[in-house]
Amino acid sequence: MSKSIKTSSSNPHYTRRRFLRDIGIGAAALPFLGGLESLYEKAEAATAAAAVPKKRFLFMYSPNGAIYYNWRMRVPGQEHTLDIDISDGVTGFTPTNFLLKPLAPNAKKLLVVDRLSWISARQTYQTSTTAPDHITHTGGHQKGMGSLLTGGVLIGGDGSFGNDGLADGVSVDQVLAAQLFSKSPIPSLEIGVQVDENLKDRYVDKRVSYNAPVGNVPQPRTPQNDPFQLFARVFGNTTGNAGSGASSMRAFLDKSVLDATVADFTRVQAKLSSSDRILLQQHSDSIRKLETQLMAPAVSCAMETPPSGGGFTPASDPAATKKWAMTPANFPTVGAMQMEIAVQAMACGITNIVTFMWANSENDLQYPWLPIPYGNGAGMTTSGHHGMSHARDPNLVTIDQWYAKQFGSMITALDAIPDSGQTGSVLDNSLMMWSSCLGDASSHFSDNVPIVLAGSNGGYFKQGRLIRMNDTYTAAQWTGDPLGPESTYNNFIAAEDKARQGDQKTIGSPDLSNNDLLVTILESFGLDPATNADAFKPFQDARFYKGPLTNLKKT
Amino acid sequence: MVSLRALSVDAVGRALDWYVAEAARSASARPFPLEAVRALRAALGGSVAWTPSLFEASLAFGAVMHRMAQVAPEAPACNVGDVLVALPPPSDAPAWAFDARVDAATFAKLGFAATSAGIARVRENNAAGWASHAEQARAFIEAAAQRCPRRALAVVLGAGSGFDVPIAALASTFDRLVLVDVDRATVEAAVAALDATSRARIEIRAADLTGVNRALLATVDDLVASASTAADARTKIEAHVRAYRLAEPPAIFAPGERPDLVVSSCVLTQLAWPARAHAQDALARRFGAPFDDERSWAQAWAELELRMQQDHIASLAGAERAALVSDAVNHLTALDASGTERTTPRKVSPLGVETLLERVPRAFRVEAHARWWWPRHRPHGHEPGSLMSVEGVILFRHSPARRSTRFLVSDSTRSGTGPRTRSKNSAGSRPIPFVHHRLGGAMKLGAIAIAVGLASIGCTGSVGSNGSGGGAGTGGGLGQSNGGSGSAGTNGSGGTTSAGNGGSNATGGSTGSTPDNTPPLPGTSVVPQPTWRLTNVEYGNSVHDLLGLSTGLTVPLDPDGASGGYNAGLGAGDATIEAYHAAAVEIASQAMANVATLVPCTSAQITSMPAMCAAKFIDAWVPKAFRRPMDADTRTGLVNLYTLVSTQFGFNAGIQSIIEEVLQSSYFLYHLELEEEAQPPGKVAVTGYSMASRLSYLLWSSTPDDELLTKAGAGQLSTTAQIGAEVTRMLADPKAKIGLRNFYRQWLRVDSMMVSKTGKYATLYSQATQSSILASFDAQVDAALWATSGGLTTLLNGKQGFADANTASIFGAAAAGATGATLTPFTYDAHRAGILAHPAIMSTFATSNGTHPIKRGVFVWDQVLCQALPAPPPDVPTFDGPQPNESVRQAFTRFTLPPNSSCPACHTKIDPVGFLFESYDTVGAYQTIDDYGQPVNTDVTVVQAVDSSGNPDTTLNVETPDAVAFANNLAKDTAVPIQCLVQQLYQFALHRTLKDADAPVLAGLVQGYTKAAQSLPTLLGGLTQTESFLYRANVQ
Repeated sequence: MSKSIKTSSSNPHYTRRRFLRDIGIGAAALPFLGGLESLYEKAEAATAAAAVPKKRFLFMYSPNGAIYYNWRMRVPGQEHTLDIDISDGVTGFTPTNFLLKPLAPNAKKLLVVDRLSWISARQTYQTSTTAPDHITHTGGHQKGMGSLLTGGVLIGGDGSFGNDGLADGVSVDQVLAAQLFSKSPIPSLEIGVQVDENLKDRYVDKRVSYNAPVGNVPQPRTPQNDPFQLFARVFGNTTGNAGSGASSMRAFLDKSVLDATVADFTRVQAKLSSSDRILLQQHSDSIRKLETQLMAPAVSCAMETPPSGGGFTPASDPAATKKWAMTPANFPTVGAMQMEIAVQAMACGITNIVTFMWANSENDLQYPWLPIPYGNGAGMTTSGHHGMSHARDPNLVTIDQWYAKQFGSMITALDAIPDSGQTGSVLDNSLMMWSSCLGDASSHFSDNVPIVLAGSNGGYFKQGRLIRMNDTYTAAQWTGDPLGPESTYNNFIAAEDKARQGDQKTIGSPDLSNNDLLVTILESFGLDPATNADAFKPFQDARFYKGPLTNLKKT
Repeated sequence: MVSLRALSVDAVGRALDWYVAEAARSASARPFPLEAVRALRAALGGSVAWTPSLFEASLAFGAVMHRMAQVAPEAPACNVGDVLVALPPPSDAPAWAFDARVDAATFAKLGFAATSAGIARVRENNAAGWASHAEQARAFIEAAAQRCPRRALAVVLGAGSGFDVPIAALASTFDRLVLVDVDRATVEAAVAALDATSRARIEIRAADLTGVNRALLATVDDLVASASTAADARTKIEAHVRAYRLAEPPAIFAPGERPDLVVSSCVLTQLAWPARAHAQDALARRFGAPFDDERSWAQAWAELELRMQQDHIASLAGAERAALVSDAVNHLTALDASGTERTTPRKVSPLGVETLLERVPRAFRVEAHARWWWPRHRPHGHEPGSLMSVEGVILFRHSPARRSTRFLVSDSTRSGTGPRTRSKNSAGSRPIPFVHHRLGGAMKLGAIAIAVGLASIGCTGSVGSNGSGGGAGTGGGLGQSNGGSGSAGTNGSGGTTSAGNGGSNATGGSTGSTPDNTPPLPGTSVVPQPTWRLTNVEYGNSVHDLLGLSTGLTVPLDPDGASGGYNAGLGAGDATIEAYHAAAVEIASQAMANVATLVPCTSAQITSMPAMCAAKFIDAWVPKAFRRPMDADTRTGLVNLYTLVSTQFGFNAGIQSIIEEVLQSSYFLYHLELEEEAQPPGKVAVTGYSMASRLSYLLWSSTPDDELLTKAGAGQLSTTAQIGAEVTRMLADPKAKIGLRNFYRQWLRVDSMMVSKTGKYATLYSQATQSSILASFDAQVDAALWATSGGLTTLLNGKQGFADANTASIFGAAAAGATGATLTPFTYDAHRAGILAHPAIMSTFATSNGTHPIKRGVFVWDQVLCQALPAPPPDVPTFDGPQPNESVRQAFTRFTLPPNSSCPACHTKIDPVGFLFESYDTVGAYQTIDDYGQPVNTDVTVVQAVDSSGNPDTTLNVETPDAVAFANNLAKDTAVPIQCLVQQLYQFALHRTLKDADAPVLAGLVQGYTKAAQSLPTLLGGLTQTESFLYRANVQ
């Protein structure tokens, strides 16, 4: 995060005259310009975007679950002050193989949530009689991906595997974008690092963000894998990079062309069946959104050049640049660039909503830059990430610790930037969330999914804690049956160790869900279930939703 | 009149004879095991004793023959209904007495009072859904009434409250209306609500339509009471239930009574379950415990149900005409998180078969057939809902002019074993193009269905009922055919999606809206589809052809979605629109370099008359880009845009804005079929400009040329002959090769070649090498598939390769002559043959630094044989890589095959095929030592391949030393690969997986391609003559 960020404490008032100057036309031309008045109003409205709340949401996805043994909080009880170097004397466990260890420097800003489940992902199989422990769990990559931010069931329905459909609802980031941030220069930003672009197989594994379905058609949002394209989109309309005469003509052309295009869509729609009409309406709505973005006044907070590509300069052929960005060896470089753009975009107020995907579920990426002994021979690892996750390969800890470190670097960066006009840092007025599609990687359960929150979102969340959700056990009760409510804590650990060795037993099936968390997130942004009922409804499916997680709040 | 049973016995006999003869003639064409057929024939003929185990096989045979009739027109008509009618008595026990009287005790045991209350509640909760069904059922029955020339008497069986029967209308149409139901009170209440005139014509009769319930329930009660254990009781009940037999079809009409119309609406599925429910209750009351093993129980009751239903259908023959309506398939639905109802893949078939047509025996002629869907239950909370398909048939008693003289068995005794004559029909007839995998799956599925008590005979995932023919005949005009509601001809229902076990390629990234989940219009193979966007390849090619840009598209677009296993332009999102915008800006600015060639004006004219030149440009270029004429408003909009922009920034900017607009407009981006979509719902012929686009995007993957548009405008793309002629011209154009590339790169999956390799392969596998590999691949496929004969065979085992300097080292010494930058043809050495081992495919199905036999094996099964494997389970154990001194093959063997593995079910099939390719490393170079330093062993025995009729494939299932031998085996009998190629091309063309109704169409295409010595133009030409290509399905 080496780039300095130019921030401006006062928004320059964007006058009608300045607007006309920017698009390169004088008063004399006005009579020819039908529709300009509305365009002007739109620009004014965009300038009034100061009304956008100063809160932010960044979701970071990392693939293929984790080894629960190395993730879970080894302390009894409901809540614990977060002290990352937890040493409880349990054999076989040392802080060095604790997955969240790299987040130690950020401990005070973290809220670690243990034992929450993607219940809507668990829902679709319900093979209780065949599950070895009689818990209706399973899950699977694709269902976790679909459930993550939507809290819903895949459109493919019961028993569907990867190919059979996308998630079936709106994701929480898009609810926030629509409800609160539609006037941000970029209402939401979807960022990817080598998210697979072949959508013929397992499309659902490659998306976390969804607009509301149109009719019954899911609306996944594509993450941008190319940091140069992403940079152009985010910072292309900042005063640091635009404002030349050419861009004035560009703005005028964009405006005129897109207006004409929308008119053309409207005419065609009238000739179509209702389902096709909806399809084209969606398209033309997106054109309108793009137009609003393009016409929005330049933001005076900029990153003037793209982040360093480790010596790579973009080729004149964008396809070659894209290929570079998709080459596995460049994964950490591209990731660092994407993170830098994400952080600066949020700090500048260009966007308040980011979903950030490290690759996609079921990817088989190798991480040669990490100390993992790839190769042939005893104790060596031949497979990529997905294969390793099946194998419960201990090197998965190394991988997940690397992702923890990336998450930590974004926390640190956002925490270093004072939030103009607000108390505290940008981080303090944000909610960051890191999670995955699965809980325990090898068993593919959707239970006990690792979740790390960071930032208090303007004082809503109480940080510096880990919370074991829905865990009614107290230390005194841990006696008897290793998996029952009478289990001793040590027995509990023993049972977990057994599970780790492939016994396939889980440690119980908590019944609080991501739906509960997603609703809590909406509330943390100041949305009110009573007055914004539509925003909440998608997550309140009674099968999965119990209620907001009040114990995450600052009391 | 010939008895019902005689007709069916005759039909089954003919079918068995035909089948045996056909199977003897064509060793590779057996969707049903010959031994099973022989056993059936012997048992039906009485030469061996009938055993209950033959029941299942005989049903499966009926299902196979029913479908055979659509594939092979000369196959004798025979279906499940015939088989059920023709079955010999299940035991030597005397036939059951038919007694339709209802007494109070039986009525109470049948539990109708509670059922009626339950139905009323469900109906109340979902009034709209039930009303939609009732309306359609009533309209269908009224249509049947209209067909009756004489209208003296109508009888409604199971009239109930008359909710889905037009009682008042029937009462006014017929002189007399008899309503029959087991529940007299309910009917009386319904009739009481009618006017006096109607009431006067109505007679109510209480009757148990099964005629056996009273005795059956009494026996069940006795058996339960006298048994000492639950198991004992159950065994006895099962045996009793299996012995069901009526001497004659139920006598449901009064003696001497021959109604002009009999109506049976949703009665079939109500016949047997009340007795079964009562038996289960009685057992539970007496012994408490629920069943621990339901299989034989369910099977026995399923048999009873099927026989009872068939007897009911037979009883309808007592009337002149029958309207039979029944539940066919029930898709369960569930609420999603947003509260929207969705169908789930789970379905049950209440009738025991997928289509009602399969149950109508030979004694009837089907006058009309209709199918409709209705939401029977709305889901709430955890409770699933159901979306039910209902079918109706109007039946007419068949009186064959020519009485059959040949009986398999005499109608009245089981003793006759007379000599069987071989059917004359079969001798010398053409081979049958079986679509094997569906038919093969039928038997298994039948068995499964019986096991779970649904008695769904071989229908799930099977090639269904009659589809349309293989397209309109050459020379005929494409008529307007509005196949909307109600009934149309005797051609069958569409059936349901057949992805899954059946072997279709289940790789569609389907979403709720894609046609993979949508049934075809009734009686057709035409599926309602969304208006597709151009795929990115189509976009790039179109821009190239419209603007002549040599560099093509350089701005990456939003990735394509997928449908039917191939890229498809699904709905657009924000990222799509942003990418289109960026692309339009970039392309338009590049195009301005050739503005002089684009604008039909001299530079002097542009200077002096810019507005006129702009108008000329708009008039000349935009219709090409839109693929149809501009309407006046659109033209005005574009002229205004030009004026607005050029006033400020001059002529060039104005032209640039037009190009930008057009490239982002719906006319350009969507495959609009405006003229056709404007017509009423139903099946609509695609002609004119829409047909021009269909042709050019199928054959060229690009925009139509001037000639196509001219012909479209002149109405010269209206008949199949005109379309055929145009296809011939288009296939001669070099663009056809480019177009087909779009297909085969996706088919063989090289469109997702890895972008880099690691370790010792990193340097060799540069971007330049990747391009060269792909060029070599294209050249080899082009040379093979476009050859005038033997295209697919050559593709599979041809010896000619193409290399340049980048790829020469991968191909080895044989390609040593390729030292330059251009592709040089060379002859493969003994280690290589055909396309499957090509570096493009080998490097796609590999890891970044090693081989991957599983990926390669799965690829061959899915894409080359179309014998698709199920998706791996979610928690498969893992591959931990070779141990020291272990080869890749040994490691995978240890891991995935017995004795160590728990997943041999798929891997015994996958692994051998994958191991064949172990001699090609991660970039496709030949190797004898694998990446772990171990010698490569490719010798395997391929197992579980099936031939084109679903039998074990004797050509492939052999010991196979290496991939070259495998390629040669594939090329020996190309029936399977040809079928697969045709299926894949069809899915590509239509953006959807196969439906039941596609089976005959595919069979025709397979036959055409085979006959024409594997000529690609014949195949593509045939594809453009299929119903699915020639028509669209309009929806509301």
